[in-house]
Amino acid sequence: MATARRESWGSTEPIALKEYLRLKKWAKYYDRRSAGALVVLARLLAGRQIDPRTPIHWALGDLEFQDYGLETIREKSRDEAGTWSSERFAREGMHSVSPLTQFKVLYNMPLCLAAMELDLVGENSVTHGLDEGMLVSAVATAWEGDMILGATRCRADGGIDCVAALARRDEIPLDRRGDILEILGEWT
Amino acid sequence: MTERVFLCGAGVVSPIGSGWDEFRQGVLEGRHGCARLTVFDGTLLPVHLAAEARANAKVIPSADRDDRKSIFLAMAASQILPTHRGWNAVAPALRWALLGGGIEHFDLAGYTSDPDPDWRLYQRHLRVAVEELCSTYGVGGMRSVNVSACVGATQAMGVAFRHVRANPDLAILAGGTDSMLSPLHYMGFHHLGALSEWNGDPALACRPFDADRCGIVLGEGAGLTVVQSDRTAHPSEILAEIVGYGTTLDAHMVTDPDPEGTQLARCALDAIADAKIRPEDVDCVHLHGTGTPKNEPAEAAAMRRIFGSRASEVPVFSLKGQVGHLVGACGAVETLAAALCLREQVVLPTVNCMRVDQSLGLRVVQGEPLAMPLRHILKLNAAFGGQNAALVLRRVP
Repeated sequence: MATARRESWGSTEPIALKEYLRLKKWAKYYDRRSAGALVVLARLLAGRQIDPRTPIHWALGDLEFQDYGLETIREKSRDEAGTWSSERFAREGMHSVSPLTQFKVLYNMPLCLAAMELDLVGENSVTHGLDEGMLVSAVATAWEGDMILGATRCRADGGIDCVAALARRDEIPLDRRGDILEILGEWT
Repeated sequence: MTERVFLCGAGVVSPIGSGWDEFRQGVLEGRHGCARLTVFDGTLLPVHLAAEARANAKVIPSADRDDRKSIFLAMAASQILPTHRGWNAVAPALRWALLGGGIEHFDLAGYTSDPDPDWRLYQRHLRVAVEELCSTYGVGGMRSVNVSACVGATQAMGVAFRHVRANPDLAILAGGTDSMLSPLHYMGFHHLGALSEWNGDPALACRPFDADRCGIVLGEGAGLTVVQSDRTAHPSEILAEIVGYGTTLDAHMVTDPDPEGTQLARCALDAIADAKIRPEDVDCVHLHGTGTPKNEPAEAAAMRRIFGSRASEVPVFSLKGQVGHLVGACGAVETLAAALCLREQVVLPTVNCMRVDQSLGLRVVQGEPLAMPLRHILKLNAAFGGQNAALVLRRVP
């Protein structure tokens, strides 16, 4: 029977990421979206035997709060008149943020990082948009057992909402419309 | 009886041409799509190579604020849908749109020049373009935007295949669109150390399987097809049959593919099993072939796991020497090229592979297209982060 876990963190509330990392140094790859996804999933799966081939499908909303150094790039890419300078961008702006930033803007990182921590190697997808669209990939699976469905919302104030669920294909309500966190959250 | 599922018609925007006819001609004549970056001023960047989308041999223009991938999506849709007989014969409620795409466009120049900017106003979401497309072309059913990086479009096409196989009345617009050719995203790929720093002729900068390969060249474009069953497909629009799909995760490292290719091979074998064929029935493989030092050895290892001793005999190729890396759209445009191979009965040469890296142990087609009977092509893609996807296509005589 389908089950789910829901977690939320306030804008400045720490997320206990390192409790769930085998290698603490990998924390550098995580932003709050990825951290929230791993924590809610690890808590959902705690004490359960999960087949490594269990499918995992995740949905993500827009990046609402983290600017990933945009303001710094902007300051270092303006000319004296305060307008865009491709010359200054090439000289200073593009070098002003950490290469690790790239790991935080790619949409597939929450899923891939969680898969690495939890040794998940099965069917998968990452969907942009917190609507029912992510269910399309999940319900197409050939897998007969439980699969993992999850979603992450970043709120404008910096808060994070995450839901992770375990459900079989025949339990997925493909005819439902609306917020995927609410749809999955009904299994909590 | 299980219905057969087909790729029907094509809308293409690519660095070697737009529209099926120009794309087909570009693929078959080995046209080069990589050149100097022009869509934004990158002359002072450490690297300024790109495979920019072209139509009628000219780079498709846009302004800084424009999301090029949304432009390409609309262009590709306008090529295929208005006159698509199979699509237009299906009721809107049974039309779906499953598309792959990349991260949001960000107008860094506009944001930087704004004295008091709200960064959200400079972001462009592909979902908005997809909703517009659905409204324009009467998509009344499900829609989703798969953002699984370099396997996004491949997964979208694979999921479309499974849904049509389960419900043969559906018509699903599937494929992908992407462009990373903007200052912010180009910077990101440079930071990852992924970009080719080739110093010679830019056309030769992306060199899949070559001993001197040195990284990717960012490309851009879109590829769309309609996935339909033989219940709704119009025979004149069928490009190829799609018979198998698989997807897996490496769960290895965030920065590198698994050098053993274990899950990439399993993904391929899942797709082959899904097609109800055996590895020995696969006639050639269209690999991901990025031209990076680490991708090709991982794919070669996967080939050995899939084909055993036959791994060095099965002809392989990559389109990226011609079109660069289309990221979220690569699976779509490359799958259409694979369908073209089945129709023309040729294995494409990997453009710019002049001296095959012998350590790979692969039979890379070079020079001219290799004419041979082809019934099944295996298409593989792999994403940064460890997602893998595979499709099996079958020739339709």
